[in-house]
Amino acid sequence: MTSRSRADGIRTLPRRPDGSAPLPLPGVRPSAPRRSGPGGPGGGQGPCPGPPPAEAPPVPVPVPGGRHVRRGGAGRGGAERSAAGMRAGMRARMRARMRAGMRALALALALCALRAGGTELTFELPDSDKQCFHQELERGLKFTLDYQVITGGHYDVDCYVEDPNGRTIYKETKKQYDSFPHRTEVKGVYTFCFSNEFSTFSHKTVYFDFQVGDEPPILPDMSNRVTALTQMESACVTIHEALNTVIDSQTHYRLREAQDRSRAEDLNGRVSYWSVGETLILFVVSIGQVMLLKSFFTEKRPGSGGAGT
Amino acid sequence: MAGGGAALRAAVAAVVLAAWSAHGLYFHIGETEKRCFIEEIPDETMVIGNYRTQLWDKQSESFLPSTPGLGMHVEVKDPDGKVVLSRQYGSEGRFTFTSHTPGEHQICLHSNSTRMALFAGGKLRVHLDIQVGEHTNNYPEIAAKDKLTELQLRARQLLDQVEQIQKEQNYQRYREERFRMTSESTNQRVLWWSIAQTIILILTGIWQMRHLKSFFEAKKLV
Repeated sequence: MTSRSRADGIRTLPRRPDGSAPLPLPGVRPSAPRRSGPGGPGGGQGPCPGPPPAEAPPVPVPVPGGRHVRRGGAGRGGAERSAAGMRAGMRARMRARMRAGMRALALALALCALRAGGTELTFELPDSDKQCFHQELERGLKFTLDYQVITGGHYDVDCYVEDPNGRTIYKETKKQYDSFPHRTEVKGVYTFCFSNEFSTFSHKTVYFDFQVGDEPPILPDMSNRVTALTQMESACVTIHEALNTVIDSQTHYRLREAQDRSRAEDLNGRVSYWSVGETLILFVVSIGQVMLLKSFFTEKRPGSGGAGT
Repeated sequence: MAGGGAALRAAVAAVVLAAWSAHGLYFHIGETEKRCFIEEIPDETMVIGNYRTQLWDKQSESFLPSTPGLGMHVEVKDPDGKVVLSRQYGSEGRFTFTSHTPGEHQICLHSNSTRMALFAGGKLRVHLDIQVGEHTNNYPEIAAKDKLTELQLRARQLLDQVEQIQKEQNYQRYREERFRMTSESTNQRVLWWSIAQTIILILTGIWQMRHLKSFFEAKKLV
């Protein structure tokens, strides 16, 4: 259980300086295991046997049937040994099968765990366009969609998320950034789309991060732990999670800085163009005024009024 | 218990099969459509991209599991616009590149297959996964190669993460410098243009009055 709460704990958001509601943390660059497994198949979801990946270590996994603990098997009292010669043999066979089964289960868990991952992408959304992404998910999985508009127009985009039945589970219009956590209730293909259809000439750059599931263990056979972690190991895990938070913050600040820089560069360009334009307008207007005034006082028709002769 | 082992093995096999058939996030792409993704990364960072394509089959009204003969062209441009990687891959591929300049790299994918127009009605499903920096490390592989214990592997992971943080911070310093230069340039421009425009305004006013004065004097109105 601790692993799940710790994994959730990573996603605490930096509070704003005035103490108001925290900014969502869209710029999440997850650590290695949270993504689709390194080098392995991608982060999609398929049928996953057995317990969910969150039960992977560092939580010590209690092995069912304490007697079949690998390390505890030896050292029974002498009285049992003689009487239970055959039983010991059977027990050994069962233990071996249990071990094989556990290994297979661990592999399955690891594969499942490897498949609990996520994707983060930055793409350009042209004006009056809509782009959709899909992912197949299992039932009962927790996923989070963070997105942020980095450049373009008024820095806003429409976003909606649909479940496999076509029902809209999230819909927002003209949002600059948001974070949407959800627990899947139906197994199937989930769709999320970003729409720039309300804009006619500004194309936007959108960053999104789609995180599925929890962080799997670093080694596939860590599911077989039967003892608690040493102080060293748990310190390492704490450091790892703290570093995850640091990397998340860095991504968040990088995105905001990119946004600010894009605004500053826009401003720079606009200042230049407007200055040149205004100077031209100034010349045109002043010359036009003079010519107009001159034309008031110039006689065109003979014998007409006016002050001049 | 004997049956349990076989059942577990079957379950594992099913998981593996499912793993290969559901490959993560996917999107649809048209025939000549080009989809680009931007990765803003510090320098000396490795990026690995995995993709898998599926073709729409008109007869079965579904996507075929895999189609040989489809090709995807992958093009990667660095922040200066220079092409870093431009290669043709098969229907399933993996591309890797390492950045040498920090900044926004563009990864563009497009299909150059002409079969699609004939058979697919122009729909192609692309599963994509891009991993950056220390996420490209395959820890089980590293553990096996260097024969590391769990603790040592964890230490290696922490080292990689810290290195990535350092690189990102260097990149941030470089970005902040650019940002500062842009802001200062804007500041300068606003200042000088305001002064220049005020001078131009005054000069134009003076010219207007003098021109009109000489005009009215010529017209004997003044």
